[in-house]
Amino acid sequence: MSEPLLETKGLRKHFPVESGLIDRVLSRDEQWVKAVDGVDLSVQRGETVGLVGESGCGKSTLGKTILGLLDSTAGEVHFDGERIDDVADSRMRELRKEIQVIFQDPGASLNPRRRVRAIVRRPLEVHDIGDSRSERNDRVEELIDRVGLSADQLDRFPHEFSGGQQQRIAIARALAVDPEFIVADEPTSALDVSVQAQILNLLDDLQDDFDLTFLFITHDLSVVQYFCDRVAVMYLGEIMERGTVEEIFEASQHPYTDALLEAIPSTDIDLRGNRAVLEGEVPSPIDPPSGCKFRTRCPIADEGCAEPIEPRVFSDTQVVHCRKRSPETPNDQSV
Amino acid sequence: MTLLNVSGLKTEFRTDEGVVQAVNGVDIQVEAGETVGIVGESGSGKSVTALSMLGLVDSPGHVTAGSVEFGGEELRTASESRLQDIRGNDIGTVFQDPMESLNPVLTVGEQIAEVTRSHGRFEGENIDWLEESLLGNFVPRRSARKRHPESWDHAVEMMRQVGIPEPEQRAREYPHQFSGGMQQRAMIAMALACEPDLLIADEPTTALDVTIEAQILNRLSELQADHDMGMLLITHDLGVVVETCDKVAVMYAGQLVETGTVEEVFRDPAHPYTRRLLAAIPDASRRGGRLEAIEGNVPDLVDMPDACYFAPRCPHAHDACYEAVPTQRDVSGTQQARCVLHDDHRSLPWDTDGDTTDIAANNGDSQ
Repeated sequence: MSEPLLETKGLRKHFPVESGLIDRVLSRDEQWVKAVDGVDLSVQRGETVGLVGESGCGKSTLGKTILGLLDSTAGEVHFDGERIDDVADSRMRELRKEIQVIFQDPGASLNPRRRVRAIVRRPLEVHDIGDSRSERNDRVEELIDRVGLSADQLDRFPHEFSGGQQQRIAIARALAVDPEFIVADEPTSALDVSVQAQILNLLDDLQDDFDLTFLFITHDLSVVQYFCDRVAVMYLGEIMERGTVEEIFEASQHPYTDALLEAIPSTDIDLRGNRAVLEGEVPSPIDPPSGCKFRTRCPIADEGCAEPIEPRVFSDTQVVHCRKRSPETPNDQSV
Repeated sequence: MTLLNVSGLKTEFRTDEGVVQAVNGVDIQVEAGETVGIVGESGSGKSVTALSMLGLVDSPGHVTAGSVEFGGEELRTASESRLQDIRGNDIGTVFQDPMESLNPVLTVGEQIAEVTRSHGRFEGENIDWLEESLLGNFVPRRSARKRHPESWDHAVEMMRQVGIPEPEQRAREYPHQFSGGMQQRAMIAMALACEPDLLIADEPTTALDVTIEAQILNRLSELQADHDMGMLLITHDLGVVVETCDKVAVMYAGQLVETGTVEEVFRDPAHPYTRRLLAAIPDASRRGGRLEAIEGNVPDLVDMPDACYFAPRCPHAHDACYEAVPTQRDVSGTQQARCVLHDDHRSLPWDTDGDTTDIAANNGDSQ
């Protein structure tokens, strides 16, 4: 396999839990929320990798750590062969020309007091792209047209647009610097299904036109299935299973992946009423279970799962973080 | 007798921009033991429908027409005190965001007990004048468990029923100590505390993860069967409707555009909007292809034209669609659709061309 565009090695991000005065006087141990706890992820040029998991599993923190918006606790992030997690701020700023982001709530990520033209032009000014104001404005019009809005809407404010249109503006802004890599953090979660479909189609078109590589963070497996090439399933800061879309959706191995797939409410009337329910809740990331972090909710866990476990390699692309499943005894009840 | 019979319900909001017809002639029937789903995108008026039934629409909103019969009693003309008796006692409600509905300074057990106490279920445990006054929040009192033991025990029992582990301890905790899923369970416990005949659940699982959503919906169905309760489930998620409902009403721009049993509507959707909505959901069969997005946006409901509201976004729209607002037309069985295409049901466009992808292609990118 060729050199990946983006790669993380053992990436960790721990947040300190604010401790009270009494804790400090008694010098109790400081506690840490292990939001991202040793993630190895690679994204090849031109592909879309989906990162899925329930809320609180650390998927957004991982995205922000990759972007350099949060400093990592340990581990490495490599982009295009260069290590980027410890570079100087000035270099990071240059890198933002290559790495861009789209957030979940466009209403919150667009400046309410600036017109759309200024919002989309801003990255061009910051990175000194284009020679004159008029040249930049031309570029803005081209971009806004490309994301399906019209140039006469450029002098409006963000609140005059619907959620789907706002997300188009955010996409235009991300594209302004002609990036190679985009982290899309739940870009369609705040939208209705009909609008979600518009935005997903748009991202799909843009990927071809601009040669983009996506890290697509979402909690919605059905979107992943439609949009991504490879998938990583995350639980409590660790990747539980990774593989191609076909492997995850047709031959998933990890019990957690199975449970997530089962839990998607299907609109297929013939599949009605036979979804198995995963019991229990996600444990606290301050004090996660030892060994396999999923064992407290896992239907097939036993005592051995409390020991540290080694990921098992099923194929070139599929790696499963579970000691109960191996290539010799694969999951027979694949969904 | 029909438990809930809503007919011709209209609610409007008088705003500076004009009159917004948020609910425009909604008819819904719910029988005991049955689950009816109202499904639609945001802004379609489904939540306002629920609030209108309960008399909870605030100014500038007004319910302008229609009737809401609950157990034979007309709620629209009922007095506010009568409505207060009914809400919480005969009709339970669960809303989307539990953190907004729970009181952050009372323990969860106390809040659940408050429901039964305010409806006088247990002798001598009513809410007294001191508690009702503002002072009630500041005067130190004996613990809730000792003041009204029966209501407290009932609250703990309800928490057990909705699947909260160790309810005796959890009842003494505050809402912020609960996870989102547990908070929503507490809300359900509260809604069911007086054993209502009808439960109105407005997006009860939208804020929750899929695995927790499945737990909550399962528990709701079990409790519903136990109590032979009617349920009105409002959601934007078609999958949730298929999993939990018996009947479904699809709402668009304040109107019901299609009604019928879940079986009828999801096997053979009759309204173009329902068809497009189902096609817009990503699933396995369309992997790698294009999603069939519904182009355009939901109309803003001010000064709506006298025409089919979906026509501007509809791939099958023709002249007849712009003549008047279509009425509900019988399709088959109990299924009805608000679409002129069903006047001549032998030649439905999706039967003739079979594959709707051509339409999507013609219609694509016409933003």
